[in-house]
Amino acid sequence: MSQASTREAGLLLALLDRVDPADAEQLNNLGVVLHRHGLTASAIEAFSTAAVVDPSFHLARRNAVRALTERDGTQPCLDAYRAQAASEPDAAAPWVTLARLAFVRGDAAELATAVAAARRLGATEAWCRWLDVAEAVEVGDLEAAASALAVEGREDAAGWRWAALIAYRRGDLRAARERIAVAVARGPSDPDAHLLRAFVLGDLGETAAARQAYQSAVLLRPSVGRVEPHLALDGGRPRGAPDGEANDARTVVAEAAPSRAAARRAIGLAALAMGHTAVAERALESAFAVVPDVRGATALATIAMGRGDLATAFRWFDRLVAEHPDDAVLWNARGVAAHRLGRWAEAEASYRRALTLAPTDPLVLGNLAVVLAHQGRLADAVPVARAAAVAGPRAVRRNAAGILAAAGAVPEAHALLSALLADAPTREEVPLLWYALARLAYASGAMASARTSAERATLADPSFAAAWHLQAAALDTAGHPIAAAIATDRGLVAAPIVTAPGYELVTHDGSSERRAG
Amino acid sequence: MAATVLLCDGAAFVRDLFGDALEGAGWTVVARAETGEAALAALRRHRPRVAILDVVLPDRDGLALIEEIRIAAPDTAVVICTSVGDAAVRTACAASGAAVVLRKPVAPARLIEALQAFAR
Repeated sequence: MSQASTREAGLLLALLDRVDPADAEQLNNLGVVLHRHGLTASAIEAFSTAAVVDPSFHLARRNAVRALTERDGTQPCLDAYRAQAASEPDAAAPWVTLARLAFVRGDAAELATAVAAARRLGATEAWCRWLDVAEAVEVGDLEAAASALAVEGREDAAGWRWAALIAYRRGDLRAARERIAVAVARGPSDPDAHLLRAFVLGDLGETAAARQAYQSAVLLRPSVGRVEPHLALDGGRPRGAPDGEANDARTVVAEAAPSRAAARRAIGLAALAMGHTAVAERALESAFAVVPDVRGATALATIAMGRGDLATAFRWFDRLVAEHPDDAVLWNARGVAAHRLGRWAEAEASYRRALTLAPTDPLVLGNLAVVLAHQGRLADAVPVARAAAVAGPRAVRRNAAGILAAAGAVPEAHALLSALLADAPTREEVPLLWYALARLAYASGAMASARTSAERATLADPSFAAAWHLQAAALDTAGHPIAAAIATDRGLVAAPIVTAPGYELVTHDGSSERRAG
Repeated sequence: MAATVLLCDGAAFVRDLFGDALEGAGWTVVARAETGEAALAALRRHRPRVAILDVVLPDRDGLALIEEIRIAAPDTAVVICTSVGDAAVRTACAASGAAVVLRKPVAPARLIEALQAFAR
């Protein structure tokens, strides 16, 4: 174990503060990094928090116990926490810590005492409220879990989730389904509830709904879907002490697992999920240097795209397709990078190469249609856009409507947009669809319809400057100059520089980029 | 022995979720069986490093299946992945020779993690 310098310690601890406190995987992985740099107390905090926010995460619990045992060898920290709790009778925090540590050690007696004291003193940590239920579920005593839950009540989302889990573990799928539906309705942003719902529905044979629930869980917490193992204290050998002040957080994280590319990559991906793109990039690059892999390189290219460094992103994808020439997803991503760089011909070639490998992929067809339209080749773009719209996601169908409209196929574009509007659009999509319909109406000379649609766009998004200006144009053309002036003013207030929404380029990782039309 | 795995679960969602995750982590999934019968047939053919089973299967008791697997393929490690939460079932699984007992819902990363020891 190396000792972190003061600066490194500060940087690592700042990282700990920025981790999602409900994401057990992130907490655990960061705990390993902290531990390897001698920050044992913080590592114990990270591990034990990971263990209590997700009681089924046995690795975090093992890591906590191991770090705690080591720490006990040099400093009797449990006794210190106990003494602190005794000396501060009105403070909840020491009891919260003791509860966490009792949970990871499986000390039921101290757990009960600490949880009771923490609750009495007003502890705000949600996990603290459910810890005795979790412990009973964990050891398989479902009767005790149900009793503990009855004491606490289940009026909120977490209570319903625990009730659903108990029913699920008892094999009562019907009750589990009803309860988890309530949990999801009351706490739609709880990934654990969506994950449980996925398994309940899966066991009921409702595979499509189960997959959808699982996707919701992954969207809310990407680490749910990460297929790599998380870091363990016995999962790698630390290198010697880093070179003092010259090191920054990126170096520290990248060096946490010096000889293991997979671990570095895991750290990089974890950092990326946490939004620490600079840390992620460094770790992923160092992993790639040891063992090149598609996932890490794709993440690196995505990071580069995210910061607008399109040339670097393109280089990554170029390298990837050279190594994996039969991967349509990578050819499409390379095409998007070239497309965003304005290298139309190169983008078109990439998309066409992807289509030789996946001829009916609607995402690639959609992107090809867009690049053809960007080159002014509307006659070529229209049949491709039509083919993409058949099975494409909503962004692809919106693009297709734009291309059809530009090519003069107004009724077809109108039908496509109306169908999208009628089929559960997202809140972000509604103003775009109304705006597109307004443009169609305006181009057709239907000013009343253009005005109404533009109004709906601005009602859905009052900051939508382009829609205000379109509304103004329709009003002016229809002979309402004062109303037009007011709409123009609203547009200028919304944004001094107006950019009309354009086509979206779509990649297979679900990201999309809007391009000027 | 190569990092091969056999999946047996009555739910298609679980077979797909775990199967795809394992393949994504470098495992070779030799079969995604819905029934114990299909699992045993695939086991005899492929002799995987690991067999992941649910305790509740459409055609037979998973605990009995562990025993049959031990006889048919003694080098195959059995990992139980079940929603049954009763402590007695967990004990029975361990007593039958299961190397690992996981309880659903299991995030893919947890499964991969649990299988790490058998990957080398």
